Amino acid sequence: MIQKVLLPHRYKKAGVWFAPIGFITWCAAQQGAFSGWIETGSWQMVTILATSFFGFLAGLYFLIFAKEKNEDEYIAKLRLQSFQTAAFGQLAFFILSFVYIALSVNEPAGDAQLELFLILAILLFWVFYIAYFNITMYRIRKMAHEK
Amino acid sequence: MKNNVREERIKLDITQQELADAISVSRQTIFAIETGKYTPSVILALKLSQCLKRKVEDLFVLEKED
Repeated sequence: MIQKVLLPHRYKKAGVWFAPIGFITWCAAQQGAFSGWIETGSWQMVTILATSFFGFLAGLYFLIFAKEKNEDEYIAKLRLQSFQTAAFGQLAFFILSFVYIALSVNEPAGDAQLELFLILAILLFWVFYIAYFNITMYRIRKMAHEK
Repeated sequence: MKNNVREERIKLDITQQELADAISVSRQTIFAIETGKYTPSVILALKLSQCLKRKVEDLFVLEKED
């Protein structure tokens, strides 16, 4: 694990706020929540969509690469384990999705669906990573506390 | 691999947190080592041996399946 690429621990808190707020704002904008006062396709709407999506990505980056309070070799091992699990999860998603698409009686809805699938596949890797790493850390902390 | 870190730590009457602070790791790491969930690196094993005043081979014992 390359320690130099990790961010200071304080970035984790920023990530906890950035990721959900960015994601919710992006979903809301996609669903037309702002269409009452901002025209769809206008530069303001594009700015909201771009800012919220990049805010979400920045939040994910902070959550993934912020150091733990005491970053040591055991944490580094857990990070590697999480990467491995995330890779398996993503592979499983790819295989299942392709099988689903191949067996699906409905025609795929063109490039937009494929784009969404690919974005989801990329994001799922990081979601698996965050979930596995944080659940494992929580369990270890809880067990250590109980002992 | 079996280890006697917990027994040696208790003999010296120090807590997991004190041992963790002494060798600059987290308490979770000491817990993971003591419960066999994690096998430390050579550097960490040597630090543990210095801190617990025991030889590395007294702290970590190979088993048949290793």
